[in-house]
Amino acid sequence: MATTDISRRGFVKLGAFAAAAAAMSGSVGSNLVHVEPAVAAESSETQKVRTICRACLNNCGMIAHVRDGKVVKLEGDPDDPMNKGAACVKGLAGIQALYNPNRIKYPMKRVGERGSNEWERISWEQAINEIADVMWEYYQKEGPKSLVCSTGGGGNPQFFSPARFLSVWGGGNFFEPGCAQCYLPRNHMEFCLNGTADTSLADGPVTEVYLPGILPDSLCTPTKTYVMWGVGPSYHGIGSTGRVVTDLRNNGMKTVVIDPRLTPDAARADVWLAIRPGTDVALMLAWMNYIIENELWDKDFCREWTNLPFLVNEATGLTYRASDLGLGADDEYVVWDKATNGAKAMPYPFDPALDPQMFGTYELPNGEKARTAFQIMKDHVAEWTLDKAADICWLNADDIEKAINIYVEGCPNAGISLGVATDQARNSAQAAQGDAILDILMGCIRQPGSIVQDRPCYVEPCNYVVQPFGLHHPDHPLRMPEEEANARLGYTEHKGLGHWLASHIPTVLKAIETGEPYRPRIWIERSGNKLAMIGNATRFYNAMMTTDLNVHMYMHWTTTSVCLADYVLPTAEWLETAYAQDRLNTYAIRRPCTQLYECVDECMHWSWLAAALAERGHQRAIDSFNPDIAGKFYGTYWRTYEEYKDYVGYFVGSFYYDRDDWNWEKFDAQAPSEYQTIEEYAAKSYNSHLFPDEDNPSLPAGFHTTSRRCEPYFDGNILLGNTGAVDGTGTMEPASDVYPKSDNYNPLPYYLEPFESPLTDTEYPYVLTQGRLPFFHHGTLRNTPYTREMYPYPETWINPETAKEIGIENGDWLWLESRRGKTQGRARITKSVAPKVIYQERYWNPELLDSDDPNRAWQVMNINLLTQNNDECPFNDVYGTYTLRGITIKITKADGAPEGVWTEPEDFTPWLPEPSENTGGGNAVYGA
Amino acid sequence: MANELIEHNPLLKKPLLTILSLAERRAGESRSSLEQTALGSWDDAYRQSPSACVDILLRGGALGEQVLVDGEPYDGTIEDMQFDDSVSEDAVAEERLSVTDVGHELLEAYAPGRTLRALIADRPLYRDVFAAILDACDAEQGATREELERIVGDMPQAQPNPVTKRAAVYPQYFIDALESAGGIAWQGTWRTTDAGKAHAAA
Repeated sequence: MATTDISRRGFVKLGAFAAAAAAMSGSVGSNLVHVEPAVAAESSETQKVRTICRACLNNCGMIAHVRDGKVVKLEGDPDDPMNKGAACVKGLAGIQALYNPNRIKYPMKRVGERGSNEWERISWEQAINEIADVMWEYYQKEGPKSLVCSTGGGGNPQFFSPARFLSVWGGGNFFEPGCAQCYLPRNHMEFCLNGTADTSLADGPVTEVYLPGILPDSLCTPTKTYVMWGVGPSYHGIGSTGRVVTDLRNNGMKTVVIDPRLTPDAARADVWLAIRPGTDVALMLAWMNYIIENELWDKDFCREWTNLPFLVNEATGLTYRASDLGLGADDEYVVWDKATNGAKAMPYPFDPALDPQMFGTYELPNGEKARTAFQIMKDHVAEWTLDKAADICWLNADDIEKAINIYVEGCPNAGISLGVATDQARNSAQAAQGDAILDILMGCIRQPGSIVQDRPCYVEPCNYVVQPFGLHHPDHPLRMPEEEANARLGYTEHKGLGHWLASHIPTVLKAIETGEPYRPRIWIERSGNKLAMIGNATRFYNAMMTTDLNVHMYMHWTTTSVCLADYVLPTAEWLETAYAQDRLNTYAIRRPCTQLYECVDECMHWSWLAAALAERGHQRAIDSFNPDIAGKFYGTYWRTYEEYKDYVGYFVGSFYYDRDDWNWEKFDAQAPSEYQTIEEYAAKSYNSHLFPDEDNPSLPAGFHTTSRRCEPYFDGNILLGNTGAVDGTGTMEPASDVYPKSDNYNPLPYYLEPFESPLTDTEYPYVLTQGRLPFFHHGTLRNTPYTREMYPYPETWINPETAKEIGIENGDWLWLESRRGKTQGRARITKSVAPKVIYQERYWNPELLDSDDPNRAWQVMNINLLTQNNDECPFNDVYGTYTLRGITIKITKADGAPEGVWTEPEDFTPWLPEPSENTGGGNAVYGA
Repeated sequence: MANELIEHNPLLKKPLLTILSLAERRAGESRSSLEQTALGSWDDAYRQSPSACVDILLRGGALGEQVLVDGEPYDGTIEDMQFDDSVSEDAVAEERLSVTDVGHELLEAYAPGRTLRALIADRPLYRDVFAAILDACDAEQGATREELERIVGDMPQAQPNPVTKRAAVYPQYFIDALESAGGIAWQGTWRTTDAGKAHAAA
C-alpha cells in the first residue's frame, strides 16, 4: 500500500487517513501535546454508514464514510425527514472529537493526591473491581445514600443511565446541571397544564414545524405565527430546527423573538423584544392581562376544554369537586350556570345543557363565596399593564402590544416555544406556567400549525431507550424504594425534581459540606465538565474535593477528570455507539462506525458495575440480571454490548412497530423506516382530545391531566407541593407515591424580581446573561480545533453606551466579577445587547490542562464562577432552580488574555486528529 | 490549610496518617526502610502504595526529606543528585524522612481521641445517639449498619419533623460522623475503636 506524507490538517480535509494510535499513559499534559505525523492511505473501498448524530439533542441523520475501519467523512443524510441533508459545525466536528488526541483511551487510576494529574493505565477488570470494592463497602457501611451519580446534557443519549443504576443500587441521589436549570421546568410544568407536551424546540417535542414540505400541501397548515421566547434555533440547531424555522419564515410565517441578544432569528423577526434578563414572567403576566382584558382568548376552547370556568375553593385554592358541595360525583367539577344562576356539577367532557360563567364571584349552597378559576387569573394579572411590564423588562409598551397582536393573529395555528433561558432563573416554574397558559388561552393546542402537539415521541415510554427500573411501574421490584426516594436531597422541598428522579444540586453540596442530613461519599459522574457547567463552580469544586471516591466517565480529559477524579473511565463517542431515535414518523438507528481504544458506551459502565456488585452479593444487582425480575419492558442489565444492542432492537420493535421479536439485527436490517405514514403521524395529534377514549369509546380522549381538560389554573401544583403527587396521567413518575408535606406551590405564575437586581445593585450595576453558540453544545467541543478556531475565546457582548461608561474598547480583555468570583472575557462592542446587559457564554480551556495548574482550565474564562447556587440566593420553589442568568456583575479592563490560553488558529494544532484503528473498544477486552 | 491534604483525599486518610505516624515513631529512618515497614501492614483498601503516599506527604509539606550521599547531607533532592556530575557513580545515596510541623499538626488534628471529643462536644443534642452507637458497636460481633439504623431510628433525635415529615439527620449522619472522628471503624461490621472505647468509658 502506497502512502503519502501530508500535513495533518490537509489530511483531515482530504478525509482519508490511516495510522496507528499511540497508547496513552503518563500525564494528561503529555497526551495533549503529543501528535503523531499523519499519513493518508491510498483509497480503498468506502462504506457509507447511515447513522444519527449526537453532538447535541437534535439527533440529525448523518452519513459516515468509513474506510479501512476509520471514519473519514461526515455529511448530513438527505433522506432524514428532519435535517434533510443539512449538518452543522457540531456534527461535522464529530471526526475531530472521535480521533482527538485528548481522548480518554483506557481506564485510568490517579497516582498521587487529587489534582496531581498523574495517572496510570489499568485494565477494565481492575477498574471495575476497585470501584465496586469501595461501593460495596460503603453500601454495607452506610447504605445506598452514600452514592451520588450525575450526568449531563452534552450529547449524552443515555440520560437515565445513572437513575437506572440508582434504582438497582436501591437509593442515593442523581443530579444533572441542566434539569432544574434546563428543560425540567418546561418539560414538567407545561405538560401538567396543557396535558400534551412542552414547547422546547431544542429538545424534540416541537415537530409541527417540520411538516410543511413533507406532509401533502392539502393536509398541511403551516404555522402562521411563531413566538420564540428565549429560543435561537439558528444557533442551537442549524441543520434541523434552524433550517425549518428559516424555511417557514421565508414562506410567510411571522415571528416574535424575545431575547436579550440580537440572534440571527431576532434579526429576522417581525418584532424583537430585547428583554431584561430574568424578567420574562413579568412580560408573560402582561400578555395574559392584555389577552384577557381585550377578550382575545379562544371562547369555545376555554369554555369546554379548560378548567377556567370551574369554581375554586378560596380556602384551599383547589377547584371544587361536585361531591364537595353535594352536587354530584367526585370526578365532576363545579361551574356557575348562567341559565339557572346556580352552582352545577360539570361532568366530563361537557354538559351542553349548562352555560358556565367564565368570570365572577358566586355564593355557593354552603354559603361560601367562590370565584371561577378564570376570575382568579384575571384578578391575579390585573396589575400587569403593558406599561408596567415595559418598565420592568426595559422594553417599549407599543412593541409589546405589537408582539401580542402578531401572536394572536396567527392563533390557533400558532404557538410559543419557550427556551432554556427562563429555566435558568428563580422564576423557572412560573415561566413554564405562563407559556402554557398563553397557548391554552388562545386555543393553540393540538391544532394544525400549533406548536403544542400530541406526537408519538411524547407518549410513554418516552424516547430514551434506557430507563430506570420501575419508572412506569410503581410495583416493579427494582424501583427505588419509596423511603429512599423520599430521602433524596432537596426533594421534599422541590418536588418538581421528582419528574426526572433528580436531587437538588445545592442541597447535595450542602450535604457533602455538612454531613446533614447525610453525607454522600461516592460520586460517579458521566458528562463533560461539571466545573464549567454548574453554577457557582468554586463551591462545587470545594465540595467534590472532599468526597471519598470520584469516578469520571467521559470521552475526553476535562478539568473534572484531571482535578477531581480518582478513576477515569473511557466512554464512547456517538460514532462508536448503538442507539435508536425517532425522527417524526420514522425510526432511525445509530450504527457504531468504529470503536477505539478501550472506550465503551456508558450503558456498559453501569452494567459492569452492577455485575461487580452482584458478584459481591448485592441482591438488587443480582436481580437486575434476572429476566424474570427485570422484565422485558426495562430489560436486564447487559454483560456484553451485543446484549444491550438487542435490547435496543427489542425496545423499538415492541413500542413502535408492534413486534416483540426484534433484536438489533432485525432493527438494523430495516432502519431507518416509517412506523406510520406521515399523514397518520400528523393526523393523530390534531384535535386528538376529541378522539374516542381507548377505555371508554363513548367519551372523547381529552387531555393527559386530572380533569382531562387543560388546566391553566394549575391547582395540581398545590397537590404537588403537599404530597408529591405529580398531577396528570401521562407523567414520567406515577402519582401513587405520597411524599412528605412541604409548601404549597402556586397555581398561577407570579413574578419575583431577580435576587440580584440591576435596579437596586449599585456595587454590581450590570446584568449578565448567557446563551447558546452554534459551535458547542453545553461544555462540549472546546478541544476540537475546528470549533475552537471559529470561537477561540468567549466574547463579552457590551452595548456601546455601556462600553463608553466603563471605558473599554472592542477587543479589550476584561474582568467580569460578581459576589462569588471573577473571570475573564474579551469585549465585543455591539448593539446586539441593550445598555447595561452583558452577554457571555460558559467556557473552559482544555489547553490549560497541560499546565502547572490545571485548575485554571475551569476558572480563567468561566462565567459559572460568577453564577449562583448558594442558599443566600433563593431557589425556585417547585424545582429548586438556581440562577444562571440575570445576575449582577461589574466589569473592569484587564491587562490581557489569561496566561496560556490559546487564541490563534495555529495554537490548536496539537488537537488535530490522531488516527486510530478500530479495536472493538472496551467491549473487545472485557465482559462482565 | 494543612488539613486539605487529608480532607481532599479522604480515601487516603488512613494510609497517609499511617505513614506519618510511622515516620514520627521512627524518626530518622530511611525512606526505603520506612516504606518496607509500612508495606508489612498495608491494606489493599489503601489504593496507593506506601511510596506514592510518601510522595504525597512530601509534596504536601507534611514530610521533609534529607538526602545523604555516602552518609553526608546532600543539598538537593534525589533527582538533583542523580544528575549531579560531581557525585561519583558509585556513591551511596539514602533518603531520610522527617515529620515537619505541618505533619505534626496533621497527626494532632486527626488524633482519634481529640476528634471524637470535639465531635461530641460540638453536638450536645446528639450525645445520647453517639453514646448508643459506641455502645452497640462494642458488642462482641460489632453492629451492622441495619442494627445501627434501628437503634438510631428509635431515638428522639432522629425523628422526623411532625409537620414536614422531614428528618433533620438520618442514621447515616451519626455513623459517618463517628467514623470520621475515629470512634468506630468498619471491619465487616461496625466496631468501636480504642479511642471510642476510651471515650465511652470516660
